[in-house]
Amino acid sequence: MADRIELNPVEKLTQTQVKRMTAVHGWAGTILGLVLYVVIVSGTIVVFGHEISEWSSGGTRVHQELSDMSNLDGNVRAIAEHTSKGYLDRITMFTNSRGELAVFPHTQVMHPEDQRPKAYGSLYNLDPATGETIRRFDGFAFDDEESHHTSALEDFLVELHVALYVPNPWGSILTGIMGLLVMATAITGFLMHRHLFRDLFVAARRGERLVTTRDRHILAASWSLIFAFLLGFTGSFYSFAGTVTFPLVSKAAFGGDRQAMINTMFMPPTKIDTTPAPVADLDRMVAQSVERMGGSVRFVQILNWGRADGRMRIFHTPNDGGLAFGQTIFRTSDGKFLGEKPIVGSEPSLGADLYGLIHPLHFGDFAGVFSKSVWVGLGTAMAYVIISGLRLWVRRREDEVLWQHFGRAVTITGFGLPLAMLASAWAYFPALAFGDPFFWTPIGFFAGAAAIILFGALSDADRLIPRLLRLLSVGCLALPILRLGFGGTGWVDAADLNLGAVPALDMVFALIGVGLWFWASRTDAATNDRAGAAGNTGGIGHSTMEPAE
Amino acid sequence: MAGPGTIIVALLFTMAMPFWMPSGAAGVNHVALPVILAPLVWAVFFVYAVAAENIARAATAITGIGVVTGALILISLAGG
Repeated sequence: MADRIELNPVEKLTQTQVKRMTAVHGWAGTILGLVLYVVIVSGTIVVFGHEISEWSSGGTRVHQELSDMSNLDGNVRAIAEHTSKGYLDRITMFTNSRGELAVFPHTQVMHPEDQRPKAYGSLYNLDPATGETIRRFDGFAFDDEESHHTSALEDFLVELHVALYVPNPWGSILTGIMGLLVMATAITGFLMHRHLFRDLFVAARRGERLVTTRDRHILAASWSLIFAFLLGFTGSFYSFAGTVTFPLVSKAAFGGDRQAMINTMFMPPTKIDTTPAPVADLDRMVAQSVERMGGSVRFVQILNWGRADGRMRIFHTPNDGGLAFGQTIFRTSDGKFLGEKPIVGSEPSLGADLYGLIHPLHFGDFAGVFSKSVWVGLGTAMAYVIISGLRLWVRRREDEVLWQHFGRAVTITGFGLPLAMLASAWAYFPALAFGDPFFWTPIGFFAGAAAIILFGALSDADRLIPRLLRLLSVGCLALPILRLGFGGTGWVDAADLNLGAVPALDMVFALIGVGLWFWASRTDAATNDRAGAAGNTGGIGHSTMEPAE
Repeated sequence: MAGPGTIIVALLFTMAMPFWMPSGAAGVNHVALPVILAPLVWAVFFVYAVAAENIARAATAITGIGVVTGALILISLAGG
């Protein structure tokens, strides 16, 4: 019966087609697999980016949503009154992970390097309770990561995932190609697959190492197949939208006027009226919006402050049962509710519905910690699929010296990337206390990566994996201590501030550290057994740097 | 062909979509859908390129689509 319902595309393909598919699957994965692994692992970690930011920011105050602030109106009005008219085109408001209120009156100015209009003005970080200015960033404020990221660690991990720390637009184009690669390997993997449904539930066979690795590769790939395709699709959408597709479509539809396309797609329709007008109570408009929409307020933007055509846009996280962000529009002159606006356009459309689905499908944040955990699990499976696929490729060619070296590079990258990320965290916390964390965090990553590559190149091949595992284990176990030692938020303060991420992530690192130590011990024992068996038979121990299966 | 070739044709196809796609009641589908669907457009060309029984025919068809969409873009931009 199972055979009848089994999806079995491979049987309809000729041998030539299967061979071609296998070559595309293998070579595409081999040439770009290690870069893809960096994108996948960093992406899997930044699914919990918000929590990492709360855990690592330090100096946190009681976190308030915009909708919970009792004096948003007073704080914003005080800044608007001291801002010259030319910068009141747009005022953006959001809260950061330290619980501060960010208010950014700005206009659009041509960026000299990016050669396109970008937000230019003064971004204030305020104490929401007193309205006191804590920090201020002038000019193209978003160019300074510190203006909108409280944690250099989270910022670095996001940057690594989004652009691999390569300058834009090339970084985004590179990660976009990685997204296409995920889709390509998922499609070819699916088409090559003989028994998709059966393989979802079959455990790996023991004994023969090549077969075991292949079984595990197929098992993890089967479970993450649809997920991989969705992430590849949504990820390449994000990477290409700003750098490639948006400029191309704006050229075709708006003669290259990107601002006109942005206005059509994202801005509420308004008739220009520069007549001076009062601004109604912002707190009241936010409260009305929350009453209508449910979900919490992510950010707020006021267009044309103090003018008759002024509008307030309020962005909500999805409410219960919803997937997409919501948006309400108010007229600022009298506080009148003008209606809900889809993410794209001013009326419901297929384009708006699909656009609204991309964020939850990529970020996995539609059902809180539960959906994020599922996304992390499937992301981990994808990372395993890449490494196990590369290993399979190398194993079949392990008699050739070049592929032996590549096999070592796979091992060093597989275990070294998480180690280098830990090194960035190890650099971050001291820098947070004494220096410039936005400078030192990437330095920590790249210095850590260089040291690991050197260690991996010089280390005894048979002992490399257990050694890397022990380094990872110690790095994880000591991280919470390091965080607390350099003034991170303590558990008691975290409980007072309702920051569950602080103890939760400390415990996760401790548990991962313990697990890695056991894994290292098991791998060590297996290596010893192999060495013993080889000694007894007078043979040579296996040196493919393979951990215990 | 399955790699860079399909990417170029997919980008040409995406750029040409606003010329023939209906904008819908909200007036945004002709610009929103090409931006959203560009990776899927590439995926369709890619699958065809790698899975076709006759690879020469697939290459001809994909190149033909690239030429037609490229011509459509040039004509529309020149006229516009």
